Amino acid sequence: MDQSTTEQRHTTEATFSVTGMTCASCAAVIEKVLGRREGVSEATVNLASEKLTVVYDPALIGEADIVSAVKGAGFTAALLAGGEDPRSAQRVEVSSHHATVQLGITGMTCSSCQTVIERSLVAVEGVSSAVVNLAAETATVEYDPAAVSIDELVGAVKDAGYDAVVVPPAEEIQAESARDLQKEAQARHTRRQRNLLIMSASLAVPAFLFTMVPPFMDVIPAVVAMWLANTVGGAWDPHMVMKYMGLVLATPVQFIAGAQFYRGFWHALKRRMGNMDTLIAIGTSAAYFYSVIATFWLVEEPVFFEVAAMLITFVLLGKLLEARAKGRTGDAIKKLMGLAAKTARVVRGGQEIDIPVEQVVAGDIVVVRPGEKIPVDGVVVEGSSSVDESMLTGESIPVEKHTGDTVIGATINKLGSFRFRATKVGKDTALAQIIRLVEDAQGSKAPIQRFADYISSYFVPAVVVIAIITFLVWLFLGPTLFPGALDDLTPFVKALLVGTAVLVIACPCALGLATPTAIMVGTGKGAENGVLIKSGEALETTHKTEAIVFDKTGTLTHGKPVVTEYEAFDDATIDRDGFFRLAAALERSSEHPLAEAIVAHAREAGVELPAVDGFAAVPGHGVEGEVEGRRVVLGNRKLMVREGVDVSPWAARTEQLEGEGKTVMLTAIDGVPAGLIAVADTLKPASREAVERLRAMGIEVFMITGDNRLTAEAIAAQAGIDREHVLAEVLPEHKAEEVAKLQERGLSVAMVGDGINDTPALAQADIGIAMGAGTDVAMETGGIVLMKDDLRDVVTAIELSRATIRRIRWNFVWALGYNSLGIPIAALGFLRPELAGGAMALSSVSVVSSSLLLRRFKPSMRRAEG
Amino acid sequence: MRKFAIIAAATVGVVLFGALTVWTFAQARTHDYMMLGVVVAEENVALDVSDQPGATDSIVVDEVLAPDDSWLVVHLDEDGMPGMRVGVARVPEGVSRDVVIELDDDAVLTDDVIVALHADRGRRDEFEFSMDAFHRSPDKPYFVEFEEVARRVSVR
Repeated sequence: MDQSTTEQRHTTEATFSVTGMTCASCAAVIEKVLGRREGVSEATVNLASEKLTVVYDPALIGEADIVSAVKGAGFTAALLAGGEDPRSAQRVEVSSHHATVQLGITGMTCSSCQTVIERSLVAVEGVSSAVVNLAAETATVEYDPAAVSIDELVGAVKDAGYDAVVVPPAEEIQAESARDLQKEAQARHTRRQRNLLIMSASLAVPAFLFTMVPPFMDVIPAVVAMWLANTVGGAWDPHMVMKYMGLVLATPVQFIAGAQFYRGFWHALKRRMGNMDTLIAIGTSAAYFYSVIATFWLVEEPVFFEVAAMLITFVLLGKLLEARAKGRTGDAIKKLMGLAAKTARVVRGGQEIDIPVEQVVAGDIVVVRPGEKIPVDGVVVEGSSSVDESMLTGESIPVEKHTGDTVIGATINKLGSFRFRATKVGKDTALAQIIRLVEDAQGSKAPIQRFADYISSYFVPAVVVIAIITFLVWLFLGPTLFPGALDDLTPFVKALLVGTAVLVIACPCALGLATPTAIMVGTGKGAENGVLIKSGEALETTHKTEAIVFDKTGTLTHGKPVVTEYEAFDDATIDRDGFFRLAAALERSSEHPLAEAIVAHAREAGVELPAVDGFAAVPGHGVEGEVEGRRVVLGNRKLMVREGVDVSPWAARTEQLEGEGKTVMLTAIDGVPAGLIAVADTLKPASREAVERLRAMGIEVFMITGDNRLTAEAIAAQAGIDREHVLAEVLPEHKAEEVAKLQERGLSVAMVGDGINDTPALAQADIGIAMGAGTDVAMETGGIVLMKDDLRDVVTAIELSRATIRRIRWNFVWALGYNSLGIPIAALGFLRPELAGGAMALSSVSVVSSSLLLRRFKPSMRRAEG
Repeated sequence: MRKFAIIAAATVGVVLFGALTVWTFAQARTHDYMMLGVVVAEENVALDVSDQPGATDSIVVDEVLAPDDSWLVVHLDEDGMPGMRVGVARVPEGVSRDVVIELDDDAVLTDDVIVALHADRGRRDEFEFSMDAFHRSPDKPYFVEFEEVARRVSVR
């Protein structure tokens, strides 16, 4: 739930699942209807994910009102998340027709109380049923939220002499049930559509065979006519029997399977809007009612019952195929959800027990054995192992985990065993956050969608006008203009068929799916590759990137100094390894970051570090102490001067290393120069490769840092960034200004940082890319979050964005091109209406399938497997 | 289980459709369904006409049982098939006796004429039937099974 206070107004946001939408126009209808309601400041419908997000003032409008308004528009809505309307917070289920609420009842003594309360509740207008459970002291009430509020229900119980409170389910339960609710609603909808399709196909196909296809159209009606004559009596004209059969077979299709189109048409008509339902309802009605007239009055005219029935069947088939394809666009989320562990082994009361993962609490010590899934996020407290984090980060190489390291839930332990303390559980885990983030992104609307919305809003009325003109032209000018076409039909019937085909072929269903399906697949694909794209807008903006600014420390570089080289001086009395061993031993007692780098290097090299006596840090200079009976000093030139050690013969080498951006530490043992150790914050292995690739993609690459120019340029040179693109000596608070300067040059700028000290710059940039998910800061900053510290993912993000936008544009071309070609073909009489219906339905399937092609996206910079 | 049921239902559907298709094609080869007129059960229709040697102006139908308002139509004999139409008379539903069908003045009768019973399903008092637009003609001849309700009458 997202709440904000602006001036005096308090707004809240709620998400609803919506069923019954068929095209972009349906989404536009809902947005328009809600937009007009007082208290609603924003309503956004995502056609692909079938979700509605509403920002509203709960003082002016409740969620039940929103659900009711959606119902009024001809669709069904169910609350998924958010909101604070007390009338809905406790809701177990809400649909456009009814809501169910559970009330806790107090004051009941016997079963007659139960009856009294039930009757009192049922007597309230809008209540369809009330069931009181005496033992549980609850009442489950089904009611119409448009007609009655929960307060009135509570009032009714109180008037009957009892007390009632609304039973609020736990937040998690509510969220879970809301998710289930949506799934159930969608499954119900799909089941119903499938049943309608089976029904209409089993009627429409015979209708088509028996009225259009020889010899079925000759034999079957004649046989039926004979059977009728011999059983019912009377006289039966097989030709008329064929018409009656068409009527009998097509009528249920028209009014049962096709009822949804009439409903949609009516609701759109009420709001003076048009949608797919408008076109299908008009088209099928024209064919159907003309045929009824031709059956009973103009008996010599042919009928087209099969046109209406087949058209509805094709549209239903197309919608089902589309729903299946749409379901696959959400595969990434399903995959992520499937990653979560079911159980965890925790230590409680000194014993290891297996419990459901939901019961793990922060602070639990969790035991992980080889090959097991890590159930929640935490910090290793005992043992070590390598962990496969590829499912979340895309990184194929297992990551070593030791005491103090963090582990992420849903990743898989490899060979070792360890224990960790749970730090984040339930909805706080990284996985849960990622799922939420991807879900939000998939439900968001990209700016490019406005194009489709705009076109759709004018398309349907335009098509109706074109169809009417086509009808009139064929009626009055058809015999002159198209003398040979549809020869055996009268001008009226020809005009009717051609007008219907135009209506049907021109439905802009595919247009509405072009953007959201691609966004869903694109964001899902990003998640699979460790690139979390937080919104459709971020995905769209990224493809425009012309300049990219990398923060240096922690982004281009590791952010942690490491030993790059150590050298013994020529006339030293000790060899290279020997001097380094003593220096590292001395540094073990220091807490300076450079000292940590030296000790870490020694450890990695397996160097045994002897004990140190008399350690002392000399502020601003270095450290000193006694190791193995020898006096060792380590620090800068000032320390050497203080110690009276002459290191001038090695000044040139020292300056050379410093020129490469390294920090040089000098060592003297027993007053004699021994060697130097160079430490630097080194470039990440993939940085140069990523920079080269970005430049090859035509993007200007900049580096921003607070370091001095010399050091900055040294790192930039290693990364392959031009000197003039180095923004050095920039204080953290001024980084945003530097980004703004680039934007003033007209560049669309992406900023890449770790989200720690560059948040303003990430916000200033057209697109902020935060590295290293798992930290809350990174997750909240920027439009794109990279799951791991690999700059190649920046390239992947841009490539994915470009691929997605390309796909969306292609979808637009496909959808609009289809309509643009289809209308003239239909208007010239080359397409029967039922074929037009089939083609129209398949166009949506084609667009969704086109979006699904994005699933084949592969980053150009493939990581080494291993 | 559900999958099995779906496969079973689909199989049954395909088999039934196949059987229907085979049967339909076989029927189409056996009988001429295309030119079948209005179908009526044998017990609901009857046409009794005696030979009428020397008849030139009219033909008298002894008795007719019409399942609905109908037309009695006199055709010339064209190689054993009903040919040019030379006279029509409307009869109401039920039994009619001694119905006189006036023949066209300029009609040159063949040795035999064929009297057929047609439905009257179009505009009243207008005989609407054409072999060229058989299916769109409302006043088609009656058939019992595949036999047209018609009688050959000698007028020589």
